[in-house]
Amino acid sequence: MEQTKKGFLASFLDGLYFNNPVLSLFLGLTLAVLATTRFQTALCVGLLTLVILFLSVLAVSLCHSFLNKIGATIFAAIISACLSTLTVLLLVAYAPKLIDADNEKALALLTLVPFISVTSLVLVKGQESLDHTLEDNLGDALGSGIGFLLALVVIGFVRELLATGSITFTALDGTASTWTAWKGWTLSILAQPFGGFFLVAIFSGIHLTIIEMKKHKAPVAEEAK
Amino acid sequence: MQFLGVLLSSFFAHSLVLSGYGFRQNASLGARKTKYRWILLSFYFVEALILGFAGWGFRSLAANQEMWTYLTPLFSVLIMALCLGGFALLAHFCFPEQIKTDLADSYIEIGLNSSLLALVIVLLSYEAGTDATILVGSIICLPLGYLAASYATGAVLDRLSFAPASGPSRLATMPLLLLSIAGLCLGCWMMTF
Repeated sequence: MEQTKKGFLASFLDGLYFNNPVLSLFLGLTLAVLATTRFQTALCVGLLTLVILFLSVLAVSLCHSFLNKIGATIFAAIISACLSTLTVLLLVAYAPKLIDADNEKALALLTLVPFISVTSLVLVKGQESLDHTLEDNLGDALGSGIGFLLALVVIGFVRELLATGSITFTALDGTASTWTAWKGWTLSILAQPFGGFFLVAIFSGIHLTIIEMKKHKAPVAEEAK
Repeated sequence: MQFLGVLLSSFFAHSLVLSGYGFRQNASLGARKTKYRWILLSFYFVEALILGFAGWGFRSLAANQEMWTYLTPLFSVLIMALCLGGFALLAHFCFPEQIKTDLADSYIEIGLNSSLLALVIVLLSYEAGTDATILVGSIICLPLGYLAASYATGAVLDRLSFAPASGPSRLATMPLLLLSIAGLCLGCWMMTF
């Protein structure tokens, strides 16, 4: 298969900003809707997705010579399923309080982490790895992973703050500490799936509007010169 | 009655699409422009049944050994990969060229799908001793609810993608489909409480 070359930095910036997985390409929406109910869950899921995406893309890129489109997708899914199972087992072994189902303040990681393996972000990036060089793939995986993490963290922060008026952190031993921004007025409906779709749509709209405005300004600046 | 209850709640209250699972995949499931989409819908349903009954098996194993709770997603993905590989072979050897072209690569998104994993996780989340009717009802009705909801939201998608000029130009960069789904979720949520 013929591969195209863009360069590490261009691929990185493309994945991070211009083709942000959540805000521009709408990849990984399952995780974006589910994980952003809490800021800390969004942070943990974003970080784990970054690591799993990077390793899956690396594995597919190294084996690209004997994979076709379907093979690459299945390979990426199986690699990421292995990594997410490993992550869950590590969490159970070293941070059981964080995922304790009986603890209200625990994170929903036990349910969410397996979804990383079948998220469209990992599957699509795994498939696309066949068309680009290793350097481009790693740049894109790193940029997309960080872009995904940043989008989740920002949406998670706003969603939890508006839904509860505070941000809660849970330590490894299960103790929770809360920073309260205000009391009384909250939009608890944002904690429902509606809030996930709505805030992803709003942030995506802002992101796309900024990109469009820059696109329109560029030709005007060229003409002025 | 329990069966009907699960069917109704899977469509109105706990639909996998409306909860966010497999949201992206609903685009190709519901899109009307794919003439042979019924093949995709059938493939999804058969795969969901296979995975559902496998999930029931994993549930029994997890009751004796906790380790199976954590290994279930991995084995579910392996089953999905086998189903997808089987469907790809079937399409390659048995389907006419026209159907193969029409379906193209969209079955990859259908075969490896977060809503299928959600189905297994829902089965695992039921308490021990749950009635078999509810389990069978969930195995059959959750994918049916998913298909019905994705067909409905697919129609919204088609409308938006075929008539972009009808929207106000100032909202051109707003993801209207996401906002429509948010409204649908809000409607279902208000209806159930």
